[in-house]
Amino acid sequence: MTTPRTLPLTVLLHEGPIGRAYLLQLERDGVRPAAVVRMVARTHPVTRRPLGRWLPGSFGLAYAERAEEASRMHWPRAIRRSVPAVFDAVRSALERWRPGSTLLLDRLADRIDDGTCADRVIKVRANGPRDRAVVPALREAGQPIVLFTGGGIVPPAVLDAGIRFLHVHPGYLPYVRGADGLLWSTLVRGRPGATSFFLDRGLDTGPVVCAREYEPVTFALPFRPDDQTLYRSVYSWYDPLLRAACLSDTIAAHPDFALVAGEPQNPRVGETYPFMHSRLRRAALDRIFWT
Amino acid sequence: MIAVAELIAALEDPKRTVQPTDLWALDALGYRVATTRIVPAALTADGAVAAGVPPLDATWYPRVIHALLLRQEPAEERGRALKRVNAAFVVLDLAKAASQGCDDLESSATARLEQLLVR
Repeated sequence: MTTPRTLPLTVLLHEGPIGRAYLLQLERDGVRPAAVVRMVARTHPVTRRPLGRWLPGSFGLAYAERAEEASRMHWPRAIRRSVPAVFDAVRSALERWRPGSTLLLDRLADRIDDGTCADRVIKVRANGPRDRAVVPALREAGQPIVLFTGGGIVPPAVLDAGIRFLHVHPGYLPYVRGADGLLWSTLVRGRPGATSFFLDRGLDTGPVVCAREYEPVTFALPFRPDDQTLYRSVYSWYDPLLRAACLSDTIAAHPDFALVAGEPQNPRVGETYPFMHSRLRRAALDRIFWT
Repeated sequence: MIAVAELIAALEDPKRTVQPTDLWALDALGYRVATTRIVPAALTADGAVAAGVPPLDATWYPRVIHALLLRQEPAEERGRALKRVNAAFVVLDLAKAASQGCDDLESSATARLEQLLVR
């Protein structure tokens, strides 16, 4: 087994399928980030109650980690358990689309191993990047690029702190900006796309590092579950693996990763899409899932 | 309701060039459309029939979306059309909520429209 190559990158890890897919993809590609800054929620993602406030130090942190993980990984686990046909369909189709995907999907719900996911892991109690604890932790990690994995909007004050945030958007920039990028790409362009770019103050308007459109993927189901189950399935597996594929392509295309730069976007080209209404969402889901 | 009313007023503006996508958006808002003349549905079904517009049925929305997807136009144009239909669906929801006496409609309408249209 070869020793993984260390990438001059800090992963700002927000618990959930996307961040996990990134770490697993990096491991599969034989690279690992120099640092992971892991945000551990101060309050429960759903109930908003404080997590582990009354427990001492490490016990409180461990409790909060567990509680956050159980919440953010609920749907991938619940759907896989209650509607295994959906997971099986996604798993086999994504393996054909991108060989090796099953290795990622099968491990997506496993616990993150702090000892192997990065050279250094820093844990901070933070609900998102706007939390005051985040910027000092990123500075302490000391890497030239930070991979943003979600968890809210990065506020201007953080963007202005001299940190370069790389983000993978599930849409082909500049043509598909905004929310529900994978669903809009499916309806508008007939195929999935993803783009890595550096965050700026706009919505998906920063300099593009790597933009890709991929072959369409369809998942054959023996029956059609409700739209909400299919929508959650997309965001449990398909969307995270699409982003991870783009991250992999980005790293492969830039051997000197620390010096990677983006190409400015033309602000007059492309559309910024809103969250998709349920009636249009059904049309998009019907193009992804076949019965 | 101001934001909703302004949106509808903009769509009704007679000086505005009416595109097929506008017609679909207007139809989703509950208007019957004949050529460039807009006939509010409130004028009763008889008015729509008089304007030569066939009545809509439950399959209308899927058919419109399907037609949009099948059109061989540039993806950007298709995207803009779908985005407009998306906004029309949201406004339709808000209009339904208004008819059911939603107390906080103005704030929710403004928030949704900002989210959906201004971004």
